[in-house]
Amino acid sequence: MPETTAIYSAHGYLVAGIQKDLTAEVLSALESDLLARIFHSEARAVVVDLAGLSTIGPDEFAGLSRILAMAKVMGATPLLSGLSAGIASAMVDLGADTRGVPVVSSIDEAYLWLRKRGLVKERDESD
Amino acid sequence: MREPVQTKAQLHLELFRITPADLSTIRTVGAEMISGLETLKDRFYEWLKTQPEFELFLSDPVTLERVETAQVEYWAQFIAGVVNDEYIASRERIGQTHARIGLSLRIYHAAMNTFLSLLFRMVDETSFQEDTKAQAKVAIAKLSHMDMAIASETIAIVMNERVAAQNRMLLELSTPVAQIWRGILLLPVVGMIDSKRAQEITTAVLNKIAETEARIFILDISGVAVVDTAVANHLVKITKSTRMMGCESTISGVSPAIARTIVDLGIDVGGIETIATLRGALASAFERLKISTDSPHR
Repeated sequence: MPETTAIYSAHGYLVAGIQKDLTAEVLSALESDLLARIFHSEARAVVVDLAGLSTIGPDEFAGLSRILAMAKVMGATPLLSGLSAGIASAMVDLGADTRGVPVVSSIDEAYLWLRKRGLVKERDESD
Repeated sequence: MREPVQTKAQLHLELFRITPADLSTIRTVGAEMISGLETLKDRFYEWLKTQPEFELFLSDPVTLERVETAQVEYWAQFIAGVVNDEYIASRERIGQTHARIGLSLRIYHAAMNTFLSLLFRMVDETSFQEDTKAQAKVAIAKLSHMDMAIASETIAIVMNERVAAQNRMLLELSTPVAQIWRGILLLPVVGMIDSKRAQEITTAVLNKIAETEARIFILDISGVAVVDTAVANHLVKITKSTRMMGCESTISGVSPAIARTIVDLGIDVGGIETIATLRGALASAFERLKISTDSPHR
């Protein structure tokens, strides 16, 4: 399902934009796509952008955490971005444990966060 | 009273219940048979030539002559009826030779069987009284059993040593810790990791760290067949012990499948750097050691 989990590669890290609700199908596709992309691109970080997400339940969050943990084991630092107010409060209500996964407000913030930690591959832009 | 320390020969004689009387009978009867050994050899080779092993091992005339001479010497020593440590050693040498050339135990025992029946025939052809002949046969049977036991045991020992040597070699082959850059060690693991292998890896790596003062150890597990909780525990242990020596470990080759297993089994790899590819691990190692890959660095 490519339209649900668009994965972009940028400056040595990956950005996965979640456009739809995280059904089991979407999670499964995200897992296999993302892990394969990490393996082949040698990305140092993965930003999962939840801006397109309207709701999240305990199962969805557990599924997402699992994928983030796998990314981490493969050497790609996971990062969450673009949480709406609704998603943020839902996650707090769920008692979601996001320790170990940094959360930033937007993809731009994610870039700055990663650059600060040397995880952004600077392109040769001298000219 | 017996002597407190028994020789190898005495131990064997006792075990096979070969009495001095037995040996004396063999000596007496043997003295008359010594001239007939050439005939025995001819009869023996008549049989041996029908066996496939003859073509395999004795097709060369020089070898054949050498073996024939050795065989007659062996038989002469047998019917001389003197069992000392030299006798035992010569039987051990026979076993060693057979193990070396890979002669099967089956044909060795068949040959001994043929030799024994030919020898019995010779005993019958001597001029001794029937009861002496019978005694001689019993004694010969006991002695030949002892011979076969020594040779077979030696073959087994040689084979076991060979297997042990191969195992040692395999273990060494399976833990080729290489210094791929100044301060960086690499060990690609192929196959499976059990506790013995993990122990070997740990020893090999720690020795190499001591020797090279490496700061980073990369353990590539892309060739590892199965990663389960036990394997992960071994990996954690290995990395812990390298850290004790001031060397940080990175586990590379974490494929999507391995990542899934690790997360689904709830294995805690916190504290160990894990990464998907060997290239990534190397890049990270260079970064940490502040090695620039733009300029050649030796």
